[in-house]
Amino acid sequence: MKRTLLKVILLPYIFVLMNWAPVAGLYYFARGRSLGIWSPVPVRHT
Amino acid sequence: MAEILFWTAFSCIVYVYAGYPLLLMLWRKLFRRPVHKQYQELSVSLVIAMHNERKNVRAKIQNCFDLDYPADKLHVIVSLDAPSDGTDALLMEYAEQGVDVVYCPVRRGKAEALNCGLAIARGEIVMFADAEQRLEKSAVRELVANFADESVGAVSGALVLLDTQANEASDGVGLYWRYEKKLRAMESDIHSVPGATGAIYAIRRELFTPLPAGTILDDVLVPMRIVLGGKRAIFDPSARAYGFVTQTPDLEYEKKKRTLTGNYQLFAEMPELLVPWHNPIFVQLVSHKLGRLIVPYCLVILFVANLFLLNGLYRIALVLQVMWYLMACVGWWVTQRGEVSRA
Repeated sequence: MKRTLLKVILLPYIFVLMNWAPVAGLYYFARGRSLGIWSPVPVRHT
Repeated sequence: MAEILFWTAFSCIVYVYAGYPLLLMLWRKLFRRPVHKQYQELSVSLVIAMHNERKNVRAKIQNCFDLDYPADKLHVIVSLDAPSDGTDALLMEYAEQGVDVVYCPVRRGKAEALNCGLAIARGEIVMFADAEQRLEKSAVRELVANFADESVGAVSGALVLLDTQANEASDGVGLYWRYEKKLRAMESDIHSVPGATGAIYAIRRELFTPLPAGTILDDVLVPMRIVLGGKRAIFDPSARAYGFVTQTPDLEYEKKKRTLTGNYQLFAEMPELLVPWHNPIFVQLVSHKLGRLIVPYCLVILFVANLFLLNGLYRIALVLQVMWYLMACVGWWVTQRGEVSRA
């Protein structure tokens, strides 16, 4: 019962969160931030 | 004006989540292109890129050895991208058992690791897999059978997400993933899927061209290049890999964010995908991938436009929207209290 209620409560939150992801994705992409599964080490220029 | 914006945004959202699947159902009924699958034993190079996979490496290699495919036809290549947790030391135990290890001492990312692995691949077919998910015994055999059809250049298998009781997950992310697989199956029946599953897919080796460094979605870029080259990228749900569903919405959000950033990267690096006469699956790509990127902005437009429309049906729409977002706030509060992982 508690699990079912939790699923219902979480549905709108998951929907909003999953729809926020493309907005955050655009931000990260525009800023040129790498989001690879594992990212290359940033190169430091000295 | 508000009315036009409201209905345009509403139509976009409904099309992406319901209209497009209905269109695919009709399209598939009228123009189905079956794949002529035939079991055969082509040589296969199975490439797995790894960084820090100490906890998965042993199980993964054993999983590769357990596959139902002739050992002399299956060449396992692990491309290590500067591991720092001892993955390389564990892997060396398998070097004498036919596993080829490519080691890169400087971390260059997954795309470069795959390029290095592919450089020594000799199989007619190259299969890609991830360290975390387990392949079903028949997975290679099922994927390879599709290459009997000359029009097929890439085949994606299906990732089955399991819950904590090891049953196929049926709520939240699991439900979404089932919906996604249904879409892919229909797209595949018509022509091609706009993206494979990173945990299990295969291509003809001669169709591979090295990935640009920093590529986020190799599993979308590789098949889309193949589709633009005139071959099909299909989905075969009988080739399966198993993984566990993420335990909290926040973890899934992080994965989703990465995938969607990858979509922006894909469109920026391959603008020809958005040219209808260059891309044979233009409608599918725009509806499936681009549509998902546009929906959040449509949701904002829908809400703001609704604030200027407060009579009759619009009043009900506004109440429903406000209730929905209030419930989302409650959901956020519940996850912050840690109720999700305890349930």
